[in-house]
Amino acid sequence: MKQLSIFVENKFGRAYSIIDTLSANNINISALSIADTSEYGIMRLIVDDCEKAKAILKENGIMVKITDVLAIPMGNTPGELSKLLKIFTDSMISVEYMYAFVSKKNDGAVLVTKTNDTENSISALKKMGISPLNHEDLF
Amino acid sequence: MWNEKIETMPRAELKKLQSERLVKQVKRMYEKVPCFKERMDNLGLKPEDINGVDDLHKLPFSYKSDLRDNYPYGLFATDMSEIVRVHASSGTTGKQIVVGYTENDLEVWQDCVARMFTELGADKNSFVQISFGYGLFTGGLGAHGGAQKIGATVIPTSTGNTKRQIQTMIDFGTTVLCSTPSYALYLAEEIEAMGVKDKLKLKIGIFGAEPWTDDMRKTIENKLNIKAYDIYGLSEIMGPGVACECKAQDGMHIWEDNFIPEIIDPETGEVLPEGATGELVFTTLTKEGFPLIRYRTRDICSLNYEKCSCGRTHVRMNKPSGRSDDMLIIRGVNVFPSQIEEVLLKVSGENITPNYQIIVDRVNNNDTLDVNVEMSEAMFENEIISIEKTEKQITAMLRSTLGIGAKVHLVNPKSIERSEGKAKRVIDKRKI
Ligand SMILES: [Zn+2]
Repeated sequence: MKQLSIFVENKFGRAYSIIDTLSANNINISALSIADTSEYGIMRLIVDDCEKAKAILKENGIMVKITDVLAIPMGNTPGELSKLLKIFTDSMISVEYMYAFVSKKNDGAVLVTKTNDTENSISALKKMGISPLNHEDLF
Repeated sequence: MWNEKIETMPRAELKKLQSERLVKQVKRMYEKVPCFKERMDNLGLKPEDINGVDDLHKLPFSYKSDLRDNYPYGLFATDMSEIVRVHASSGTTGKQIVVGYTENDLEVWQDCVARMFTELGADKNSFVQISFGYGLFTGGLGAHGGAQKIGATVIPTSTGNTKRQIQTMIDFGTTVLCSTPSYALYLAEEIEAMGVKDKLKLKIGIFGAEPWTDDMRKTIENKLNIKAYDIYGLSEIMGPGVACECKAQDGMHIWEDNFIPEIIDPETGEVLPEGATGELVFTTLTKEGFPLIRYRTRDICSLNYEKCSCGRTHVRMNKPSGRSDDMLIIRGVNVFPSQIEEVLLKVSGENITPNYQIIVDRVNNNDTLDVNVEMSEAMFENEIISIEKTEKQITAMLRSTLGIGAKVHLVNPKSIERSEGKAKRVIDKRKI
């Protein structure tokens, strides 16, 4: 799964101008998360057209990178997230960040996460019968 | 006066003395300093062609870059065994520049500073607190030497620890304070806040190493109830004491028995007529260890040859009004934008320097330095921690290169304002 990582200065109106640029160009945002300190933030987005979004943002002087992340389907019921995290913990994998959203297409919740070891994460998930989602699965 | 014969020497005699010394100095340097000989040869000049001050304009200029290119000892004119002290200051790039002194050079330096102390009313009964930085910087030890020479009690506090500085002033009975003007103002405000002004015996302040205004002088004088005087110097020529105000507070006397000043057009190198404003150039007449001929200071000022009310015949320089290069003086430290550029180039991980902007301001009488750096592809990582790491790395490298702290801000690409396509590199908001 591809994610947009955007450098954001903590300045008034900065987030709006990024989101506005994307919406003006018909980019659909499915999920968003922000990590920040007092001076900077990184905005992480899951969008329908990653490459187009990147090109548009770059044109507008916004620093952006495309990052590979894991998108893991999960049921929209209590205990689902804890089950997933246990799989990682049992395999000694640490989570760097995560956020979740509900997708219309696969009719359930999706956990977006970056771990310290993508390959091991995938095989640990597969062993438990879970397949990470591709871009096409969601859009 | 400390040295009345010299300080009041009639100008014709002074010129004769300068001429004798210049001829000797040129001859000596031609033999001892390869870089100088080469420049003379290139101009087809021989030491015999220089017969006095009137021939000075024929001689080649020397530049700060010469100090870098001949680092560390290439421009020294004596055997290293004769050198008893070195000092250093920042160059235009990461490398510092180094100067050296023989026993006699230190003697001359002390004599120049002693003339100043004596004129301003200090003597062996004075308590002179030196709040200039000690160390490689010439400020501390330079003022120290002169104060010791007149037999004053020297209190070498160096910089920092303001509360203790003030306590020392009170307990030790300081009568003369030497520091940067901005630090003096800061001390004055602290003294006011502590309500201890009445406990001070301070009478004289000698302030230099950074630009300051007459308004600042008045504020310091009123707050501390002292007389505040301006002192000028640069380590390439000697250090503090190349020139200093007398009680008239109307320009700084340059000790012309040791230094010949000229004012030139910084573009053409032409010597300008008396009284004109231009770049100040110095020739050292008595320096043994590290002599310089026609050194381009990059300071912009004018010279006043009129006789001074104090009786001294030596020319007075007006307070420099600016620079003919892009050097900044921040908290008394020389900073070149090129030094900052060099650090950013190292950090960027690419072969191009990220766009940057230097913002200098003065907040509560303290200079602030902010460096905005445009984020580049190579510097941007997905993790917030790595952005902070980049910021910290730049901050640490700037500190070690410049010798002063800077606040670093990473900003969006293309967000630094550009005029005619070129980014404006330096914004100096200080009102000096
Ligand atoms: Zn005078």
